[in-house]
Amino acid sequence: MGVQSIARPVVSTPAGERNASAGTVLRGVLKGVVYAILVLWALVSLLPVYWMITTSIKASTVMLQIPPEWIPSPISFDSYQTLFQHSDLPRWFLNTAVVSAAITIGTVIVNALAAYPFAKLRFPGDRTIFWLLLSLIMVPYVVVWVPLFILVSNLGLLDSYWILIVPGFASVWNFFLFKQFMQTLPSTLIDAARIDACTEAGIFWKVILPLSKPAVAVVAIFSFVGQWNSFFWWLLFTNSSDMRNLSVGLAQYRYQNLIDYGPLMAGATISAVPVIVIFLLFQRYFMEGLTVGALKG
Amino acid sequence: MAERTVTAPVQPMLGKDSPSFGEKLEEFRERYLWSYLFIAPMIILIAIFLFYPLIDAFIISFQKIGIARDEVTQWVGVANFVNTVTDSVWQRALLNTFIFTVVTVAADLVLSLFLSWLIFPLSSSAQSFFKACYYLPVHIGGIMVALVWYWMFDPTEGVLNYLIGLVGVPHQNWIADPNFALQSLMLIPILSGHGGGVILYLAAMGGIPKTLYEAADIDAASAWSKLKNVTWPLLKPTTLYVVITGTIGSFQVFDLIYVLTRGGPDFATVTLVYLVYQVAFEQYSFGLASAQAFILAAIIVVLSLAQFRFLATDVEY
Repeated sequence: MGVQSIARPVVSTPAGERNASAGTVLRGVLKGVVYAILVLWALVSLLPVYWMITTSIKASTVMLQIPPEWIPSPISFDSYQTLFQHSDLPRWFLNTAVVSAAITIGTVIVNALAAYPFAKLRFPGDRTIFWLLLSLIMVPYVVVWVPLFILVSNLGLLDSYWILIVPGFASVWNFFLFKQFMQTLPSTLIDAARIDACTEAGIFWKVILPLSKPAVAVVAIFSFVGQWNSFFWWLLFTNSSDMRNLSVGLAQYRYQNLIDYGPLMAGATISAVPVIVIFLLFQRYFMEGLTVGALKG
Repeated sequence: MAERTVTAPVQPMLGKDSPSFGEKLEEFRERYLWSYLFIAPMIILIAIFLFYPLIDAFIISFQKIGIARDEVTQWVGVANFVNTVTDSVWQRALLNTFIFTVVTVAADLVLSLFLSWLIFPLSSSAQSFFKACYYLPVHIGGIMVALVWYWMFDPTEGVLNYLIGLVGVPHQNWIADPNFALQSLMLIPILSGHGGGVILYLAAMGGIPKTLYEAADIDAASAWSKLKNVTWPLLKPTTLYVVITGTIGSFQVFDLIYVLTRGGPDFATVTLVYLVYQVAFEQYSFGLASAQAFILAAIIVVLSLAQFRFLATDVEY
């Protein structure tokens, strides 16, 4: 970019280049530096993940040694065994998986259904309700904790699957995502379906939903992963150990077993691996979901 | 083409053609029933779990809630609000939260921009590779990331002290050190949390028309000048988004504090949201906690508006 090239004959390379100029060399060096920085930062970024996984498969004798073992050998599953024996981890895993799946399905249905009328149909009050919802998005969740907690404990619903699953269906973010997406769908298809005397429910099921697959994918993936990693809600509304999820269970384990790092890392690995797999398989949707959310303005 | 024929004589407008109330109702039902049915589940859920608690929280913040059997709920007016802002622990929390937010958001901004600027000219597969590397740790879950750092922070056997020892820096106590605990916590989002910004900036950079850069080249602009006069202004919308969402998020940091330090040592890491949690669920002062939550919400709204005013300028092409 704008660097003067000095014409100077040099030994020709196997690729047949005759004149390697100082400019080209400089560009090569710069590119190397760029890659070096990026790779270094990638290592920094991934270090916690790497450390988590390798610690979990180290034998307890070598875990605390300095200098630390970068590649665990021999591989031992002691930590996992300890964790399983001293905690309700399998139950936590089950809770996390079941609730995340249930919420994902529910939130897609509820919000896709609700978004369609706002996106494509006009009805009295739609403006008002929409602005109300938009303003609710600004409310920090912390404001809602106390009254919700009082309400839920008065209703005797603490420690129940109800309170863990049903509120998860209400997500203003997911609603807006569906609405934005559905607005871009061509109305001609809807009109055609109406001419064919299709019911509104039929239009939704046969026309809108199939066309909204990209939005469904993004909402489903973000919902699932978000719920998988949910912490505060479960902290608030569960008391007994067998109703916890992975996040809260492991956080409590950390305080009950102060320097038991191995089992802690084993638990973290168990929680992280499904998410990593989902991420690697569906990267595209993660990136899309993020940019769509930002570009909506 | 149909022939124009004279139809029945023109009727007066009044009376005859107005539909009856029953007919109007029927038409209303036909046109809008499904819409209301479709939005009903969401509206009901939002009303119960977001709208109602919001109103209730507002009311509670003016009360002192009685918990035990013999305690009554009393109305205390603005006492909760006054007690909050005059409390030194809350003021410390405000300071900590503010520092945490400013540092992590600024670092996120700078790092994301810098990395995106480096990645953008590369091949598409290189871009995908690095994007994945930076964005993956974000989704492991804040708790798991915090737990790993908890292990890495261990003063005697943790890998962090080992690594800095390699370059001659003396061992730190990290989160156990009252003078360094907050800074240690800030390292976590800085080093493990900015993948999203890179993705957004890369996407935005892709949207900048090449013709602008070509015009700059004709004027023999340097790389720095291009960055400053073309790239940066056109990325302002993305910057605005990153800064505002980052601020809102960082201001409400909780998980890290709960898992790693519980506000200590010596209040070095109390944050506003963590304080609300303590007041509500360890001291059971629900009214006070509600007031604190509203003050926090107000601060966030003010901050967001200020940032919006400051950063949202019209970009001219």
